[in-house]
Amino acid sequence: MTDRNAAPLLSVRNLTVNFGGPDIVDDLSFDIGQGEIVALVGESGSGKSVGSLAIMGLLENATIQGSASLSGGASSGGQEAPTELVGLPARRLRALRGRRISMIFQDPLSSLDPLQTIGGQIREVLKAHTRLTGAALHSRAIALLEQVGIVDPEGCLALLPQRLSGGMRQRVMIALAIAAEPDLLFADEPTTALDVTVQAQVLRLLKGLRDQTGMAMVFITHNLAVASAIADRVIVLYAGQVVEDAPADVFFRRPAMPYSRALLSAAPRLEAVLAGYGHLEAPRGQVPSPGQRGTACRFAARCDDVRETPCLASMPSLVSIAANGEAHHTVRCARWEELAP
Amino acid sequence: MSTAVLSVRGLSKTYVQRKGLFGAVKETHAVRNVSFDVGRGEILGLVGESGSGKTTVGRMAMRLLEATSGQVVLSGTDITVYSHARLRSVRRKMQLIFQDPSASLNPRQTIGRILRTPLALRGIDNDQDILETLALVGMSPDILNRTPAMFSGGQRQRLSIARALLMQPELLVADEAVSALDVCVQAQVVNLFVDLRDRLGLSILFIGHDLAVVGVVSDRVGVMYRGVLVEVARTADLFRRPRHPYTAQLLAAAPRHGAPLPPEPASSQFSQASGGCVFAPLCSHMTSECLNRQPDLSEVGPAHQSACLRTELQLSGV
Repeated sequence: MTDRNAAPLLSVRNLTVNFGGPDIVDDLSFDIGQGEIVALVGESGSGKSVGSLAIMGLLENATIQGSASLSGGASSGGQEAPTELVGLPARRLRALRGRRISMIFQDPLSSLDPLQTIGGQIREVLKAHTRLTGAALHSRAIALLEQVGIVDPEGCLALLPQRLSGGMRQRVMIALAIAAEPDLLFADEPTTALDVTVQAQVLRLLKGLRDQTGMAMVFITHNLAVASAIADRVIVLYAGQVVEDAPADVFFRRPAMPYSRALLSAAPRLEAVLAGYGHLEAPRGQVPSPGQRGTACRFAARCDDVRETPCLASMPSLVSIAANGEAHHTVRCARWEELAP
Repeated sequence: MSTAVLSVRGLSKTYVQRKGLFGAVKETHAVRNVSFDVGRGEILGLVGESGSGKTTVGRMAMRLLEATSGQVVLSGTDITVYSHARLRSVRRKMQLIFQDPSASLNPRQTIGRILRTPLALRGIDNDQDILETLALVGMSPDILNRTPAMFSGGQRQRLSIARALLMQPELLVADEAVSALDVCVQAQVVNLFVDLRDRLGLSILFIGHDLAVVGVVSDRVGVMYRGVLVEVARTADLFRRPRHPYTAQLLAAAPRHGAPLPPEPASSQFSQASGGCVFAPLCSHMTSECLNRQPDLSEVGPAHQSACLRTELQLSGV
């Protein structure tokens, strides 16, 4: 589990991304601890995917400023010197990907090669990152598929991706992503396309892998219930900024940012269905587009608790609201203290 | 129910595949013997995982897809045997809302043109209805000269709902209509559906995969598994006291705010026996009798039907 005293595995500072126009991601700062699962939550346009792709060096034609520093992971005993990911040459990034940081996406079918068998794809990854050959390579491939819960790994190796169900494909994707035992896994909506029972299985698998290997995870999702099921910590993004960063149990008990509260009450819940009301609390309007974010609080136009001052006067900064001895908790709301329940 | 707007009886869809000219015939039962009613001013939710047949049922109910057997009755009229020409006259009464509004709104037409088309079909030549309907779905009236690309996903879904409403339908079939929307926008559109039921007395068949979303909008919910409607009940009854083991498993698997992940469900590990209950292979309550036949949907409580032989089971809900 997380050791908050140790240096973070990934430290993102003032990350700003644009594609020649207005900034899409604006001054993003957060830490990911060793072995920590952090849910990056936000609606479309919040910058959660663009921010992560920028950190992984997967954006083309983007102007990226700021820093994303990856320190030595559990595999190196934390001894390796930190590596700055922003601006790292493509050749060095390639060497890091897979081995130190890895990723899985929403649609495994578009990430898997449709013309190559599962076995071929796993062997390719293992050859790139390990010195295994022959029988050792084969047994490692089998072990990986077993690790992600595939019941007939031998048979699976011979199949093409289209022969597998959505849940099985996502398991294969996870096997490929963890083949080189990375320290940090980016998972971008990995369960969104899956049925609810399969989703629960994949979430259990990912959490189990973290417990076994100590791999940290950035879990990008728009679904708060999914975030609640897997995350140690929740970071909420709104219009390109971090607006709240809190331990998961604190976040779901008493979110401090009005936007976090709006997100939680807009999400339909099974318990609410029982209460019998056919109505959801929805904040009015929509997320401002990158060119129209203004200089005030970006949520102000949709916030029920908005005041001329301080909300419209200036952009609130991200402040720490954790009391002494409490875990890291920051919020971007000028009225958080007045609004605290 | 005599006041049913839509009534389907014994609806089935079987796809037949033949391997080679004289080869064996393989039958795939996409939907088997599904019956339900949607009452006037009622929202009936239809929930199921992919491949459960929920979309096929919706399309057969609208006669966009021919059923292999069964009956579709719209406001008391059996439309199962209607020819395509006769169908046109009743199609106005049922309108379909799709998941992806950007694929169902012509990107090259203005909103004005898109919304005037249904009016023209009704022989009306002024914009009064359009302005009223836009207000109803929460859109501003000054957008008629814009094109769909200038709107967000939620606004486009409002526009496709407005277009459907302009046909003055009695029944809306909404197939995953809010699935592609962000949570805040999704909440707005969910509220809109409930509002339309309350204000216009509209009947809605609301198809989706997300139990919580379907539950919040629906008066009653039907659960489908592998082509079979396994349970139908009033929403709170279904969530609180599910009577079919599949419904209970679905409720348990749904992630919840502030709750840990549910444990892996136990399963019977029996392989599918042909003719047995569709859920038997994954059911922890299976008995040998379950492998003999697929039980029909039968009354297990007030307005509560389940297709499980083991009616004595006490299953836990939410």
